[in-house]
Amino acid sequence: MKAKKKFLLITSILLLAVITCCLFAGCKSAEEKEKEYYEKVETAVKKTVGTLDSLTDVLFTKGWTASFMYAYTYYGIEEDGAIKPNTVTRGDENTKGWLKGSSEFVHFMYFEVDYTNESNYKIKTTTFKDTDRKTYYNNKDKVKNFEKKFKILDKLTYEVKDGVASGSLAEGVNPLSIIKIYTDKEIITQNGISASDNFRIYTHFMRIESRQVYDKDGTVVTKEQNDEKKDYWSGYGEDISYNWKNVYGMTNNRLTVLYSKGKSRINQLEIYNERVLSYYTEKDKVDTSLVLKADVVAYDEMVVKFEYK
Amino acid sequence: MEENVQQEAVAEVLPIQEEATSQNASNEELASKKYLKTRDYVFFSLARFASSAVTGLIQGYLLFFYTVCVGISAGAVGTMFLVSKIFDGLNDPIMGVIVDRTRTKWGKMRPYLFGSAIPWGIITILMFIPDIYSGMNSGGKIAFMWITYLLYSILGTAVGVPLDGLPAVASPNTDERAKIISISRILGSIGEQSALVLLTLFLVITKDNYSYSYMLMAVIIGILGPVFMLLGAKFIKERLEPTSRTPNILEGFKYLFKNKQFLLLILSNLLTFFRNFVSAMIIYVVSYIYAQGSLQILFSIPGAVASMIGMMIAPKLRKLMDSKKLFIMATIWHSVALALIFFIYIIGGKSWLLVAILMFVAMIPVGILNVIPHLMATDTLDYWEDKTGDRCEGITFSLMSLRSKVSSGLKDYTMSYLLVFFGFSQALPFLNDHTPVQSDFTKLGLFSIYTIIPAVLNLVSIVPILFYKLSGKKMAEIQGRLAVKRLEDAKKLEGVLDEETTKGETDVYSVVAEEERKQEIEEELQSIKEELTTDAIKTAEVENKEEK
Repeated sequence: MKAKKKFLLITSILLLAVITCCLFAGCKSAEEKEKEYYEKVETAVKKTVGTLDSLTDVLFTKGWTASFMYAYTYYGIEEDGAIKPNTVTRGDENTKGWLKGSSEFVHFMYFEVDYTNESNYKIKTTTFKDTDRKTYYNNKDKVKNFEKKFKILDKLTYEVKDGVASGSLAEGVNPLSIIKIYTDKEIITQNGISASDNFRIYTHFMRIESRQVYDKDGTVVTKEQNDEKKDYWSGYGEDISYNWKNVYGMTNNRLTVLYSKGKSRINQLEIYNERVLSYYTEKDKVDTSLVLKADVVAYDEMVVKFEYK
Repeated sequence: MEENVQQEAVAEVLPIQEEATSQNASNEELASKKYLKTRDYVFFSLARFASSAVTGLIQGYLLFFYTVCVGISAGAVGTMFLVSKIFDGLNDPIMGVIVDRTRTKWGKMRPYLFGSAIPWGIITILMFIPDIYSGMNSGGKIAFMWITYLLYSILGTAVGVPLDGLPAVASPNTDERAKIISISRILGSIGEQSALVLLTLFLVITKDNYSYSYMLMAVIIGILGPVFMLLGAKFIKERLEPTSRTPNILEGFKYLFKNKQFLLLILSNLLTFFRNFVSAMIIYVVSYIYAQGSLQILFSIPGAVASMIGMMIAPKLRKLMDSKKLFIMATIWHSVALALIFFIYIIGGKSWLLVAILMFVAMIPVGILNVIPHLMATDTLDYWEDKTGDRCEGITFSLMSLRSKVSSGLKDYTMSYLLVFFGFSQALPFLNDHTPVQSDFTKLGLFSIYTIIPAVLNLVSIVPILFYKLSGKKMAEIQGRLAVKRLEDAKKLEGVLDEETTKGETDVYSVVAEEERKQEIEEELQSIKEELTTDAIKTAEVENKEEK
């Protein structure tokens, strides 16, 4: 009986030791896991960007029309009726920076694009101002109402005929430039943080997210550009955390594409970008000591549905 | 002990007997005997209000809190909900057996309410404190979520099962039971909305800070809820002595598969979880489609009122058609209305006011569907008693509760999966109160989960009911046979108690053994037998004619 007990005890200890060894052997170091994670992301981004690149190539070789909104929402302070979008500041350990809960504004533009090719296209735009976001959201699909409800800042027509431009349109708000910048292969590949390309019953759904992190001097800090990234962030995936003392701000870019695989056509393209800023503010309503927090200070969004000629 | 059993049997049989022989004067008197006092109604309804407030908070807001405020992925939350709710559902029959085996001077239900209400409140608060999660990595957050939610589920079962069972032991009077259940259910519906009222208030106070609004809401409900539940437990009395025979868990599960009508009902009800998408999606719709969290109250309250109207009209509609037809009609009504809202939205009717108004119409049948399955469950009990002579209320309602929890888990899991499917963008956990704008594709997806998806999938719940046989005519036959059986049983028991009373034994509910009364029962029994015989003859004649 005693021998049996001994045998059982020794077998149990051995089994436990084997299981522990297997578990340790199966475990990967944090560095290995992180490396594996970034490799997976890189592969997924490269693959998805490849598809996107071919789709945008097709887009700019075909004729199409589209009418859509571009909206820029930001937090700022209104003084004497004038909106000052650049009043958001970081502050320092003794001075409070931008405070969440101050005014929120949206500026938006309505575009009508008639695209034939790079040398021939026409853009009509109406710019609105002093609107609030709630009203914008309730009416964004009823463009005509805006012309009645809100003050029109400007109406412009920009035409490129045989490569010669007529009319005026700031380059920054040219929708074709926006599409080209935010679908740029190089930029997304370098900054991509996640990508997926799936079939969603009635359409193909592609989602790519990219992020750019800025240091105090406004220099872009990416994995490729700065090996000492741990000064800026640590962890990966859902566990990523930023060292806001070194990171001044960041942009989160999200691109969603609905496309037809058979026809190699983008049916809908959605661009959404957030601008995040770190700033000094009270810890909470009870503890008013200043601490660094980060928040979205502005974002822009655009949803373009393409009608092919 | 034996005497107790006989007393209980009389207590159980007599009120039902009275229903069957309502023309009899003394039986009417007995049937109308009141046991419940105003305080029973008030404090039990208050306890139900409180428990519904806690479950309403968890069911309506926890998924959003985990995914948006804490930043846990929707997939991880969905998996946890599914697994823990199946686990939670299995607790019910176990808790039912534990309760049935409990014998204390406070009864068998109330001790669990006294012991579990406060820990349940504490766990509820802990789940909603954002600062607890702030120092954790994603693994820590998920582990904390699992532990607290499982504890919440166990304690919730320890509160919920006795609370569900209390009306059955508070009074032997069927009318009183029905009344206390009905009042407490309506108050429970109001309780479910208390989280919404508090959230709206706190969102205004904290200027749309969701994390802290949720925490404050949980603190209020987590403190007041247990207080109300303890008051309920203190003031309601358990007036019926427990029965001596208690089935074990294995018998319970066997019963589910033996009683096919009940199985069909459970299957159908299991598939009704899609309709819960509607209320659970409100917060996503108002936050991401209309970008106004404060609209939630304007979407939820009319829906809740419509549902209450549905609960009130259900008994009247039940007189016009049997439960099976009513269930099918209400399901189709709900689906058609939801589909209509979706199509109106697609063609441009996107105004929140229009959607909220149309949703009122779509939610009325939900109230009907909240009541009818319980009536159908009692029909399956009668069917089973008629077939086997056995009656299993405890098992029936614990399995109904299990069904409800599994449905709730399936709802959360499917909804999380659909959120991922439509590309719902998670909040960034390192940003304060981050609510990213969703893509158009996602917004359409959110509205689809709110309307057209439940509209279509709800219809699946009709399929098992098509095979459900307990129609109005069949139930009339079953209840007729049961009335005869109960009268015979009552007569036998009264005879036994008569003897005991003459020997100086105590009587029960002051209803036993008068010579006249026995005579009346005898006459009544005879008249029902004759009636049934006449019906049988008539049926046979009709059948003969048909055959000819």
